[in-house]
Amino acid sequence: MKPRLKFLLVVVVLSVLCSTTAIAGVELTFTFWGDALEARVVTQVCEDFNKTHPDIRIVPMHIPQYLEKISAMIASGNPPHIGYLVESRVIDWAESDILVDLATLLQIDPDPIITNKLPQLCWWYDGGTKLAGVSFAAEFMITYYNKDLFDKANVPYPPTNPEDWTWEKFVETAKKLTFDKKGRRPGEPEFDPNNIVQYGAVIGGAGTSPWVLYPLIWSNNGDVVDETGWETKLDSSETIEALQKMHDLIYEEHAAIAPAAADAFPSLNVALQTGQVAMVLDGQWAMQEAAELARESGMRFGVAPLPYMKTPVTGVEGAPIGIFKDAIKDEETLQAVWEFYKFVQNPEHVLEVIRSGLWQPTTLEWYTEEEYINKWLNPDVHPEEYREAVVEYYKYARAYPNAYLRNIAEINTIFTQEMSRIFYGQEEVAKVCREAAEKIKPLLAGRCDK
Amino acid sequence: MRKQGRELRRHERKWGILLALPGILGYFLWVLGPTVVAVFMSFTDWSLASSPNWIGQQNYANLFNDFIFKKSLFVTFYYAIGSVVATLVVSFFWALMLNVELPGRSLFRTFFFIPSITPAVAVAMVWLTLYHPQFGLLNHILKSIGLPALQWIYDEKQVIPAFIVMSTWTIGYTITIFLAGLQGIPEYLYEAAMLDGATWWHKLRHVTIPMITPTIFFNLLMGIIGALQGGFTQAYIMTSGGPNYASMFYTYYIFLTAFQYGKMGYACALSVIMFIITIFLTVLVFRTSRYWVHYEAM
Repeated sequence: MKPRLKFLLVVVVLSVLCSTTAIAGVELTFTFWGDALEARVVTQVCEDFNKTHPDIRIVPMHIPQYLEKISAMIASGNPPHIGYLVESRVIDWAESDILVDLATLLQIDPDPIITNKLPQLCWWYDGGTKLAGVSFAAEFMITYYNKDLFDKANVPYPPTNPEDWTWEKFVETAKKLTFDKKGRRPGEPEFDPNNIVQYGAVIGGAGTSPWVLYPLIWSNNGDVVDETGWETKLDSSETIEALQKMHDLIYEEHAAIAPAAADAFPSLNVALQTGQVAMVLDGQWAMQEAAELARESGMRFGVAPLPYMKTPVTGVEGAPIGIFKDAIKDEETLQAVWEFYKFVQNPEHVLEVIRSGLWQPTTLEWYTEEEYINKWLNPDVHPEEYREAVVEYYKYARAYPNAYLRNIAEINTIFTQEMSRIFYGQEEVAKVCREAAEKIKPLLAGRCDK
Repeated sequence: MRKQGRELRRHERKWGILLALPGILGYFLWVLGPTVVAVFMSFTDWSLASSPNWIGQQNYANLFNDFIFKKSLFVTFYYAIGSVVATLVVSFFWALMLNVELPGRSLFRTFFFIPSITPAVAVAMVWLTLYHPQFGLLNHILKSIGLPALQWIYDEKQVIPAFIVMSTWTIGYTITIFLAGLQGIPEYLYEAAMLDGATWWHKLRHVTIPMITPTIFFNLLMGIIGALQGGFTQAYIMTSGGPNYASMFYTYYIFLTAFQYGKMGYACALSVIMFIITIFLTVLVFRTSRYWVHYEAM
């Protein structure tokens, strides 16, 4: 036993020595979430950075139950140096003064990687003077469709120009792609709405998440709150009308699948692939899975902008990356974190996730300049119309209230629960909107960016 | 001799305390400590991100205006009553069945225990497909025998009954405890009953059930405590508390308040209220137990 103990002791001492000698320069922790591919690529980004920056060592921390863990880290006074910020918590964290104001760093070092970000992806606070973070990925809400189902029904594909894809056209297209057991369409004699085998469309997350609902409401000039963030517009005629149109598409026209049935699909792409639904309104994040299904099953899928009612618009989602004040002990650390911030925010360094279809780039020239667009569009993933339908769609993309509205997490809970009364319970739209507006009123506390 | 005995006792005491120490320390550090802190924090506006400020009973006063709090309390009680009764009845029934001398009995016992050791998220995923309104197995069965299809967890009136049905699936532990109770009933009582000409029903009614009341009492108590804290996985994975707050379980609401809304102080107040309710119900069940629990001959 004794020689073995001695040997163990030597190993322990040596490993301690090795680990302490490795920590030369600044060591920084970077926390993030994401699926296996995202985790691998982001970890790789850290390693690439470490190779090119010998004085700085980034320790990547992939955390699956992110919100709980990061909250505990913040509460204990040990936040990471830099990390993904949970969308629903950003405003509160920023206003609690636990984040470094990036605007001050940009004043000293206006690096184009950060200054050229899409403005919708910048999370401003303190009346728009301070910057809490910038999104590391962008996700537009778009229309996915199964080309085979369109061809079979002899229906033209949705247009790629956002201005042309009106709600009326969308409803008409959806009706033409809805069939009951005997092949009859809505509006045809003896159409049986109880035995529909193929639906024209599905509104992703109707009744369970606001991602698609918000832009469709915005497109009818409605909204949850007004421009100031102090008044609710949930009970406005525009909002009610938009929701009524969505409700009618499902329950009157029978051209879209009810959310109760749609929610239970493993994913909406599966509904698309198995031919149960011809068009899906969902986030761009589903592109990666759609492409995988296309490769495996030979599904031919296409993409189009989101349909609109009065004004073409879509939502853009993307969690920001922030720097935590408590972890920054000195100027040297701050400089090191900022170096990494610029590195990880460069779409060039996360190209694999972008080319897989999971993310869209965040920097403006990646949407406008040929050279950059060619870098990220992947013919194995992005369908041919993607460029016109999605890349050029950036001008119509609007940030979600996560980025500016105080108490947004509570407002979103109430919004989705109340929407389920319309989309699951089929209650009267105007009544639900009036009651929901009353419930939201006590939570309104303005915008942090104005 | 006496000296040696004293030595031994001292030796045993030392080791006894030493070996129990991790458990005792763990309890103080990880259970009692956080409980006391949570009670303290319930009087503050702690948001996790900033330091807590003392705000007195403000959090408790706010509960009265919080419609989601009231709804979640109702939902949780509704679920608790339903699932405790259903779980007790169903697991007692299966324990009786599994107590019968039959070939392959241990195999059946294993089958009934498997769902209890399956990860809760996996169980939730399986039930999600079973409850699918259009392609789910349950609606398929209903339709095939001519009954109308249900919306299950996607309807605000059906969601809690659906979760109660689901709760009767993971009853392995309760069955095991019932089985142990059943096997502790002395055989001579049944023999005596038989001599008196008792039928199966008489034996169940006058021997088995009275003799097993301590086990029922234990399972009832554990069931109530468990059910009041239950529903989190279902709400988190399957329904997000919907539709229309109909599955906004208390624990899920605490989670939303603490982490999504960053109102840790308020979440602590919510937890304290549930703690008080649980203590009250536990005392109530204990108090009533003397009228219906029989400890004779056990």
